Amino acid sequence: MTRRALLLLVPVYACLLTLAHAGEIIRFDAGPQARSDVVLANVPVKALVTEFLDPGNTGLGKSVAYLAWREILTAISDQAGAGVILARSPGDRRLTDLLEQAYHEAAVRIAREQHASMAVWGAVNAAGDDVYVSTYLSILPEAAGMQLKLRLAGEPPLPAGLEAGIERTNFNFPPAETTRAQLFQRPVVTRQDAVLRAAADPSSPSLGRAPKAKALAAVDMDKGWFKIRLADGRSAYVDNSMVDVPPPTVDAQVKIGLAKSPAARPGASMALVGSYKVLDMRYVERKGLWYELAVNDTRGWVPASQVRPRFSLPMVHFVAGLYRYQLKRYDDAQREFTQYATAPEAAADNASLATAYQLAGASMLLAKRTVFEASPAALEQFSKAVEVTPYDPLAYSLRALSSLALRRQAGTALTDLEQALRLDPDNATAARITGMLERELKSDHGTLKQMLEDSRQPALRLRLDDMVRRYPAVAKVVQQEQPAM
Amino acid sequence: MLRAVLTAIGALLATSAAAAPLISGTVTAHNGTPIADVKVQAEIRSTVIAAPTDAQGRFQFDAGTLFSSTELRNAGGLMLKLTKPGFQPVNWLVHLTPGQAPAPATVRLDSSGGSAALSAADKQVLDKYVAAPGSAPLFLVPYALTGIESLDPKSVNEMLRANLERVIVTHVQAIVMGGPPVSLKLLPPMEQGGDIDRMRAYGLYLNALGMITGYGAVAPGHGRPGVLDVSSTFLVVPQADSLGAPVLYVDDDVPADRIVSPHLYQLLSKLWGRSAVLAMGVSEFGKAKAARDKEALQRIRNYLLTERAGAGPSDELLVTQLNTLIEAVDRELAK
Repeated sequence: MTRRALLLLVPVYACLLTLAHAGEIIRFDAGPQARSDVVLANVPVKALVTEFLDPGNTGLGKSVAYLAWREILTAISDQAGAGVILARSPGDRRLTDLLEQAYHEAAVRIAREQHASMAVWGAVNAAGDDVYVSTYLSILPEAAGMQLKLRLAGEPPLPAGLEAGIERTNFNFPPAETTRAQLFQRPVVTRQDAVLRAAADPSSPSLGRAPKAKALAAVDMDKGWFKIRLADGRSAYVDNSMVDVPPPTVDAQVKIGLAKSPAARPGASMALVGSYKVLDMRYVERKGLWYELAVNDTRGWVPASQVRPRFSLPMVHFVAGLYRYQLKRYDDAQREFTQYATAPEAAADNASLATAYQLAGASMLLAKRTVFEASPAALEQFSKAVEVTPYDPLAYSLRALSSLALRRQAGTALTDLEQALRLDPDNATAARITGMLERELKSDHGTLKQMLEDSRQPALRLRLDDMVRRYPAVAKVVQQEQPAM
Repeated sequence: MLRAVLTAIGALLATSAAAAPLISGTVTAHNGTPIADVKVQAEIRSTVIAAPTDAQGRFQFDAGTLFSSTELRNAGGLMLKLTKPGFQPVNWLVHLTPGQAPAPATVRLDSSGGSAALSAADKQVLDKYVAAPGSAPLFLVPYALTGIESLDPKSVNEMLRANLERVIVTHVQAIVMGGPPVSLKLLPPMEQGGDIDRMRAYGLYLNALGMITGYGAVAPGHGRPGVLDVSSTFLVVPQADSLGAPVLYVDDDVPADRIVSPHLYQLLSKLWGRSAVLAMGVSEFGKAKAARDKEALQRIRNYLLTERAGAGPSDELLVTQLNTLIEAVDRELAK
């Protein structure tokens, strides 16, 4: 009988409705009784972005929140069933004044009211032209699609319980150190015919109109308005809701021809290696998203699928990865988590970096129908997570599971499980996997026993016996009734 | 330079059986919090150890088991000597009247703060900030800043407070699910002079979870805004002595940086966010241990493990501190 093993993620969202949506709520009160009407009610996977805190009163809190909102929207723009909501305080009142130190719970509360699965918030400080942006993410524990769990399954079925879940739900991303120019000097592309105004105020005089799909040169932001430099040198303002915000740059390592217009026939093939400035962006029906890039002294269009966008705030990639992951776009999810992990700032926070590696590894496994087709490189992602969080038992349990599936070796998996139990002898995940391995390998006809190449080695039996003796939590699993499949 | 001190203090023995005349009493801190494990000695001509206070700050002993009936009959009174590290010792006279039960003693211990006892003026300033029983905020003693003519020190300290509170609270909220609320309160300018003992005394008096302070100076910006060099201290001030829990403190010099720079807050987020979790663990461990609350002990263990899980390969010191506390929790859970 052919024995096959595959890793499953449970559970995930499967609803696909329309392409990504943007929604804005303006009510954000501190009181527990405060309510807002649900925005994007029919969108299954939503994140909520709150206005960023501004302790130094720089005036950038609203602008950076708008920018983060629009960047996330761009990052998931081709994703059906996804939406992003911006929550800002009414008028000129500052969120800092409204929420004080309870802002995290407040953001989560509003995300919950909005049936969003993620809450994004942050803080901005400035010194001269330098801008420092701290970003935070809370995954709502009750969001069903956000229970990030890897389970070893097989054919015939394996006993239930060979699984490990990513339990971290709150992320404090490292601050991004940037400048006002790097944040706001960028092309923005009109979503529709847009009015250009003399000031960042809907009642200010009109200076003219920009047609749909026109790339405008933004030079700054004022609250929710982009300040635009017009061709004649004058300045104008356009409301952020009138424009799409492309990534400032893309990373590329591809041989490709540049097209003269979006979705047009490409020119002579050339090597794109490195980082390239984005000049324009266009979504073409049935052809997907396209970027116009500055390449040396020329410019040309490439499909977004051939390059990797690099957004201003690394958090955008992490959040975009979670959207893709929830909606089973695993190749895209892996790209986004990798973009996060390769951001220069990412190394400053071990916990979020390890999670990005683990989710990238899980995405690589889940992108394939069975683990037979999965790249062994997925295992490297779990190993990177172990390197950056060597005291986390879960990092070892996840690597053990993927090792069982990809290498079909119990020995290497046991080494990881032993380390997890050394760190925490009561660790339920490591004890459960170890105990189930012991039980499966002892059985004459265990599916897992048939599947693993080293399952009949005497040394393996001795190691398992030793672990059962040393760790009561493992012995308890061994003695338990066989769980229902 | 990073320094850490870990000290474990074991609990003392339980009280002895009662017999007339019974001497009893309650020992509390100045804010009404009961103080456990206070050493109670009784003296007539000789001094003998009577009984320590329990988790509710109560003590009781039978004087007849410590002194002869002749000594008790001839003595008009019995002197109680109440001592505990971190608190100023108190002597309390119990009047002994034949045929009458002595009145229970109600004793208040003031924190000694090590070598730096607080002045009456200090106490007067601190009194309105003393945390109520059940709450344990962090306090920021304003940084001593020089050379900031262009900046208002008050606004600089308020900006520090807001940013530090955010990095600490977000760290704690990411680790301790459903834990007690954490806040950082700004005190008026106080004498500090880098004196850890004085800071500890402030913290004990305020019933604080931790004390934060530092000093700094603005260096010329060479055409750009000035750069603020700051050196910071985070002092964990759990009520550990009274609870038989490990005591630890951490202080550190943070590299010079701008007051708004992410480098500063990234470092402080890691160092002080973690210190706040440790302090919370120490404080809650003491309470859970005294109450023999295994559920609370398990919850504390879980968040300490979560904190450790986020540690990187270069965080050995943090891991050592966490392991010390986790082992203490495990010992209690195993009882």
